[in-house]
Amino acid sequence: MNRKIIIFALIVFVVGMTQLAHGAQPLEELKAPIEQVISILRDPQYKATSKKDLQREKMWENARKIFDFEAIARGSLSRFRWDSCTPRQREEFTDVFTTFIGNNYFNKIQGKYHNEEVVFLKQEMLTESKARVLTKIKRESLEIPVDYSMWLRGGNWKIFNVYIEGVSLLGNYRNEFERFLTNSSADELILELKKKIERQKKGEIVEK
Amino acid sequence: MRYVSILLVVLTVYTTGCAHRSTITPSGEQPTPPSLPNGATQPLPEKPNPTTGKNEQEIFLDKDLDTLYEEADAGVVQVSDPIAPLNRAIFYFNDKLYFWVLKPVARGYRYLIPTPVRIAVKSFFYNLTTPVRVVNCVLQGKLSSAGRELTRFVVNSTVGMLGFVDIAQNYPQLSVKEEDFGQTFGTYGIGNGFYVVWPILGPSTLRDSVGMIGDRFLNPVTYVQPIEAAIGVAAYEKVNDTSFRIGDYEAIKDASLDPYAAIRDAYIQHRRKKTEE
Repeated sequence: MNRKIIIFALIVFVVGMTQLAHGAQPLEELKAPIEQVISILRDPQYKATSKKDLQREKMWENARKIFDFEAIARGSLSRFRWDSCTPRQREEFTDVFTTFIGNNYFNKIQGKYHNEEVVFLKQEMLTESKARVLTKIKRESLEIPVDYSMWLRGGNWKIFNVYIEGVSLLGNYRNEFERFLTNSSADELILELKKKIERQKKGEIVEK
Repeated sequence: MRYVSILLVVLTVYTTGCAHRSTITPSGEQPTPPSLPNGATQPLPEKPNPTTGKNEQEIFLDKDLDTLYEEADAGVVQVSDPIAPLNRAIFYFNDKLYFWVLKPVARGYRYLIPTPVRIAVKSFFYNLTTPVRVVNCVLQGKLSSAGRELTRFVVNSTVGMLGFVDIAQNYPQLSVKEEDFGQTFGTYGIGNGFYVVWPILGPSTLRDSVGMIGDRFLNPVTYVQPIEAAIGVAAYEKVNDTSFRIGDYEAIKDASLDPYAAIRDAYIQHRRKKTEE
């Protein structure tokens, strides 16, 4: 009898410890910053055009908490392409690409936010340090499935890939950059992304 | 006394830090420092790791890299595109059609017609294409899905007033996935063939194009007489659908270096996912 209680207590203890060791669960880790971004979008204090930069900065803050941009940049190049880059190119590419995808995303949601709602469906633990979190964005009658691949790196759950309607962010950029790098250099890719960012800036916030 | 309060502050910060972050992961990695508020263009100022001289975040373990590359590789698509020059020309045409005609019309429509009405129209058309989904569910052996589709159709066509009200959406057990002939062929192991861009209809493949013909046969709108009326109804459906998606195409274009190829790859991935479901 006593042994049973001890075993039970041990199990509870061990389960509790693993929970502790892994920190929060991926879905929970994802939820907080995303809900934060939505509340920033809804916040009337950022309505004025002059406040849009501040609003964007706040959204960046939250994005950086949860997105593993280093990993996303690295994974968007094949192993071979990454290895052929100089350390300076790697660093520059990571910065430029992060700004590029972030601006794309924020331009879209900041320009025309239609009370979209994010529903957190469930998390699937693939291994103890890798998970898939399924969500959907509800816009009027439309439901857009958005799934996040998350991993436990450096002690925190972070997003390293996003699937929008089944289309992998990493996969798509891998295809794009591979095509581009077949005929051009890494520096040209960086330059091309910079040009794109400049163009994004011109069209920023304007509803297209 | 001052020292005591400083010590208290330090202790508090330290313990809260512990509560929010797990200390050392089983792999022996150090936790990353909390990220600082940052602007859009500056990289995060990170403390160099004293042992390697590298930034904390730059360290990728081998297993991390394996996971990362595996994930990216899974999204790599190969599709043959032998008629690329023609496809690109039609892509260009569709692009102009969108910006010059479809988008302005859809925007005007969106402005004039209240959202509930647009949703009702969308539900009505979706309900009409039930035969396409039921037949393809059956052809793929998904009998319970076919049953759900039929129940949904009956409920929405009656209580839901000819399908204008999507009553069934309130019942998760009646939720369905879109099915069409292209997906059915896919589950039979028939490959994409090659990539095709159709005027107005947009991205497709040889397989999905054949599938589209089948879908058309099962779509009541096809049988509207005269043919001009059928085209009118189809065009209206397109405008109504677009009114929910203004800005999506622009976002994809903005996010890619070569929009034609990016949309092609995304289409193939999207269809692959749907076929797997």
